[in-house]
Formats: sequence, structure tokens, C-alpha cells
Amino acid sequence: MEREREAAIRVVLIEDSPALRQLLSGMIADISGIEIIGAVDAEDQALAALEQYHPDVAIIDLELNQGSGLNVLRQIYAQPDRYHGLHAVVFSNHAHASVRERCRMLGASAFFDKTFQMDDLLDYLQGVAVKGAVPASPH
Amino acid sequence: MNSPMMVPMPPTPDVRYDRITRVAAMSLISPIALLAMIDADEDAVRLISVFGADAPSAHCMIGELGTGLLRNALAIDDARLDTRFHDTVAGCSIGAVAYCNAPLFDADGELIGSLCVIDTRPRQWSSGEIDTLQDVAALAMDLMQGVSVTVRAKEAEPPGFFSHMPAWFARHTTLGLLAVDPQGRCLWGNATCEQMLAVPMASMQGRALTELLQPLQPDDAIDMAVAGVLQSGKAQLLEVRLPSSSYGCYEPERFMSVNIAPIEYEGDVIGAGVILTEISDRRKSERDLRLAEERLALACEAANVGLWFWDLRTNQLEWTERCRGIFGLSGAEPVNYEIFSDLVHPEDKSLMELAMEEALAGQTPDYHATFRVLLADNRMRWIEARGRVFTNNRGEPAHFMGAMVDVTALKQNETTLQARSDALLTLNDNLAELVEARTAELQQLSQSLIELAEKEKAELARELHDELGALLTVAHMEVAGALRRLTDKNSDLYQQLTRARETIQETTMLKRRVVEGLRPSLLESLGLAEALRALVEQYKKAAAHIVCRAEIPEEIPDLRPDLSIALYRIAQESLTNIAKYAGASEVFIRIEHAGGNVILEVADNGLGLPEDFRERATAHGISGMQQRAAHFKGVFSIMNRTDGPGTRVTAVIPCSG
Repeated sequence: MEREREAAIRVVLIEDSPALRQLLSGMIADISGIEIIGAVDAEDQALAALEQYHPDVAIIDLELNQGSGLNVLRQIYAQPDRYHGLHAVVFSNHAHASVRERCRMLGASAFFDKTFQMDDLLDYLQGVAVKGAVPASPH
Repeated sequence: MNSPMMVPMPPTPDVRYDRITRVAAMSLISPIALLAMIDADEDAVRLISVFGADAPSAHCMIGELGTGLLRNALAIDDARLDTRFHDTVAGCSIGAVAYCNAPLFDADGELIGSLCVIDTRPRQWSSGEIDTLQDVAALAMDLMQGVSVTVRAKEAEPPGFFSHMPAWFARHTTLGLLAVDPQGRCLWGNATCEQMLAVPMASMQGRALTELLQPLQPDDAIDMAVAGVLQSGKAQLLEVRLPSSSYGCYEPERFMSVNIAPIEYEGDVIGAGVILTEISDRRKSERDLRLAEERLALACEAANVGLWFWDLRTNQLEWTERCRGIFGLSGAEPVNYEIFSDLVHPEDKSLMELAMEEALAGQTPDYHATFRVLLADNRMRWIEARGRVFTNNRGEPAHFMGAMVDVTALKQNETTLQARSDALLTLNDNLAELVEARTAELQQLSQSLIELAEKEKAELARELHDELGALLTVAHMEVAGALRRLTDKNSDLYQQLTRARETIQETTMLKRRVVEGLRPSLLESLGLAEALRALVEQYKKAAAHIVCRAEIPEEIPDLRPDLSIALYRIAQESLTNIAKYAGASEVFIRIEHAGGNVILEVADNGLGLPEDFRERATAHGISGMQQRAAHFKGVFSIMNRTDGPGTRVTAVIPCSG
């Protein structure tokens, strides 16, 4: 956060596991041009944070302490004006094709398997930071 | 009355009138005959000859009958059954039962007397017998008239009238008349006799009586009888058979009653007169009756039936020996209704009496009652009685007769059978209840087991996914982070960390498979519809030879998680069974939310259910599906399809509840 600047991509992390939250925050923070502006572990808090901070990217785990990541996606999808310009990126262990498809239908920009695609997520964020913009959906 | 009766009473006893009564009795083969004179003006009856009875009882009889009855020609077979005679006849000691009367009239048609023949047992008077009596009555009329004529107008009588009479009677009578000499040889026979024996007079003469008639037994009965009559001067009566030569071989046997009376002349017996009366009909009736009686007795004996006869007018009750035996009474003990009624069990008496009263009142055609009797030795017997009331010609009950059977053994069997049947029914009820209770217990147990298993699976799945999963993810990220920092991709450390990362990835995959088996993650994340779609996709890959068609709505709203799991498991189990056992090439799965129910249907086009499918290995899985449906108050069925080959599984489960 020491390299704050105008063009930094602002990210909110929605993840229920504290260990993962911490680890992921650390890794994402290492990417220049990316700024974590908040981390939450529940649906309500997530929606509040998204409305309050208007981040560029939300990294969403599907399992949350309260509610679910799918519900967060549904809200974003249902109210495009309220969450204008937000890109939802799903990062979950529920990597079934049906779930991926459902997320895509709900407007998710990308889906990454928590176990197998962490590098891909980081590469994706790196790309975003370099371009200064979120790429089109990889789906 | 225009012309007064001019009959002076002749002196009695008059031997001429006694001949009349004797001939009447003999010709009708009856024990008693009475001849009475009647003064119609004075309504007076006077007995003038009696055969076979003492004078006082004959007087009583005649007096009781009175002019009213004596004026009619009557033939009463059984006077006890005839109310006209019942009271009068019963009162006289003469013992009249059968009664045949011929009234006597003078030339002007005025009643002058009566000739009657009486038998002490019931009998059927034949028309021949009635004719005979009328013949004899005509003789009596002539005699009485003759007396009158003799007294009144002797000079008007044509000469030779009386000497002419015997020949006239001999010619016209229906009786066969024969005269035999002291050696028993035939001297003369009348025309009737010739007809009866089918022997002309010429060939009859000189032959022994025993050649013309056949004794019934012993062989010399006729000779003995003739000899007896000639020796003793007393008449004898016997029955004989006609020789078969006197009638066709296809005709029935013929029998005669033979009355042999001595012929006296100046105090000596000079021969015998034989009067033949045909009794074939009577013998046949008697034989038929005897046969019928024997048959009845045999039937009664075989069926252990006792007969009773109750004369309602005299209140006399007659029981057969067997009937007495049923009631434990000896032949000597008296029997009447009161004695019978006292033997009937107090609890059954009113029912028995009611049945009897209804029969007597004509409310029921027949009497039928089953009751217990208590014998003198305290034994109890069940009796079934049946009977019928017979009325006289005025419709009044005259006698009541019927049969009784000892049905004790039958009743006991019935009671035993009933008791056994009751016991069996109770046992059956108890068993049914027991089975029901056990089934309910087992069902509950089975449901609890399913619930428990699901709960444990869910718990295990949660721990594996949440705890182990998170740890594996963290470990994987740590390794991945370290790898990212290493710049020398060829170093041993890099290789080592790469292998570690691969191991972690494999472990994660394994964990995912285990968790998926325990609790389909899609159910939780995306709901039943999505999970079923995924199941179908997976099935298509696993069982590529089966064409799988699915009708699943976009979403099935408001399903409780445990109900979703139940439906998912039923679908999963059914699809697995089809792949394993059905030999099907097509599967159709459909789920629908309608009318507050979720309807799940899985059908195939395979072999169908084997008859013993509930005993097979699959029974466990089928029972499990059933239990899952029952747990949610739903209905589950598995059966062969009616619209084609294969099997159909249907579960209908209410959403609420």
C-alpha cells in the first residue's frame, strides 16, 4: 500500500478462511498496480463493502461464513447500476463445470479453482494491473 | 211322514237277524256288526242284533250315533280323525275305529234301520266291501219288510218268494260262495266263485278245496280248517292265495279271505259253506304299509331319529322306542307333554314353546326347534325337533307329529370348531398387530439409520471440505508462493517443491471425490435441479451405452436440504440400478414440482423387475428409497411399466412438512 497511485486497480477480497485471506492478501499485494482495499468473510459485509468502496475487482469465494458467494454474484448481476464498473472474479474450490457455468451466467468475469489455478488468478491480476483495465472474460 | 211305519218290533234275539250281522261281519272280515231298527217318528233307535260285541257297549254305540248318523251311508276309515265320530266313538267301550254303515229303507223310502260293521283298527273300506255291506243290508231290508209284509199282508206275498231268495243272492252277490261235503270236496259254487277261481262249476265239483285254493301256511291249513269246522261246528276264518292258474302270470298275486262255516241239518253237520272275499287290495295295502313302516323304522334307526305323534284332541302323546331312548326313558314310563316339557333345559324352554305355539297357530308351516334336555342322570343332550300340524276338514289342528334327533355330538363339534376358529382368529389378529408393530418399528429404525447416516456423511463432508480443504489450499498456496519466488527453475529445491505441490493437488482431488460422494456439493451450491443435471451428465459419461433423457426444470424452489438429498439419492440409486441390472438402452428421468409435491420419475426400457426382486441384493437399495420417501410422508413405487418394457420408479413427496 506504500505504492498508492491514481491508476492502481482496487480489489476487495471476499473469503471466509482467515488463513487464506491473509495468504492471498499478501500475494496479491506483491503485484504492482493492485491494491487490496478491503477483505470480508460474509455476504452482507461483502455487499456493503462493494457499495461503499466501488472497487474495480471483487475476488469472491463461493463459501462464506454467512450467505454465499453466488448470492453476492446474483446481487451484482441484478443491480448493474449500483455496482457499476465492478468485475467479479470467482476463486473457489467448487470447481464443477455447472458451478462455473452458473457463475458465468451471473456475470462473473473469471473463475479460478482455488487449488489448481492460484497461479492463473495471480497472472490474471498481473495482467489487469499492467493493462490498467480488466480484460474480457476468459470464458 | 205320510205313511206311518208299520214295523212291529220282532222278538229279540231273532236268529234271522243274527245271521244278517254274522254274514255282514264275516263278509267284510270285521270283528263287529250291529243291526238296528229305527223309528223315525219317535227318533228312537233299537238294537236288534249284535255280532262280536257285548250288548251294553253295542247299545252305547248305537245310542251315541243316533238317527242323525245312522241314516247316512258312511265309510269311515279312522273315526279318531273324524270329528263327527271322535267324541261319541271314544266314549263307548266297543273300541270302534273303522266304521261302515248302510241305512235300511222301506219300499216308500222311509228310514227303518241301519246295518253297520265296525273294526277296532283303522282300515280302508274298499268299494267291494261297501257294495257287499249294501247287499247284506238289502237282505236285511227284505227280511224286515218281509216281517212287515208277513204280518200286514200275508196274502199279498207271491208264493215261493222266500225259497227263491237264496238262489237270487247266490247269483248276484260279490262274494264267492262254495259248499263242500264232509270230506272237504267241492259240491257247488256260485258264479262269482267260478269267476274268482277261473274254474267252471263242472270241473270244480268233486275237487278238494285245498286244490282250488292255496294255503299261505302251513300247507295243510285249508284241510285242517275244514276238518276243524266239521268237527267243532264252529266257523273259521283264514286267508289264502289263489293258485297261479287262475290269473295271468304277469298279474299280481291274488288273495282271498275264506270264511268256513258249518252247515247243519237236524243237529248234524252235513258239510261246510265257504264264503270267499277278495282281499288282494287289502293285502297289497298291508304289505305296502308294512314295507313303508319297515323302511321308516330302518331310516329312523340309521339316522337315530325318534318319532312322536301327538293327538291334540285326546292330548295323547306317543313316542317311538328310539324317541324315548333319546330322552333316557324306558318303554314302561308314561309320556305326555308335561313330562317332555319338564325335561327341556330351562334356558331353551321358552324358545321351544314359542316354535311350537307358532306351528300350532299356523304361523309357520312347520315346527322346528333345537334345544337342550336335561336327562334324569343330569346328562345334557342337544335335540333337534321337526314336526308338522295336521288339521281336520274344518281346519282345526287335529294332530301334531314329527321327529326328534339327538344332535349332541354335532353341537359339541360345532362348539369345538367355533372355539378353535375364535382362537385362530384371535391369534391371527394378534399376529397381524405384532407384524404391524414390528414393521413400524423397523421402518422407524431404518429411517433413523438413514437420517443418521446422512447426518454423519454431512458432518464428515463438512470437516473434509472446510477443515482439510482449507488446510490443503493454504499448503498449496504456500508452496506455490515459494515456487514463484524461486528464480532458478532447475534447482533441486524447485523440483522438490513442484513435486510437493503435485502431491497436494492429488490429495485435494482425492478429497474432492470423497466429499462429492458423501454430499453432492452441487446440491448445496446450486440446488437439486442443477445437481440432478450434473448427475445425468456424469451418468451419460459413465454409462455410454444408455441414452439418457432428462426433463428437469430450471429450478425447483423452496426445497429443504434434507429433502433435496433424499430426492437426489433416490435418483442416483435408480440410475445405478438401471445401469447394473436393467439391461436398458434408454433411461428417462423427470422431476416436477406440482401441487405442493415433488414428483420424481425414473423409467427405463430394460428387462423389468424379476418376480423375486424384493428378495434380491437390490432389495436393500429399493427399501432404502422407500424409507427415504416415507420419512418425508411421501409415496414410493417401483413396478414394471404398463406402456412398454422396463421398470418405472416413482416418488411423490410433499414439499412442506
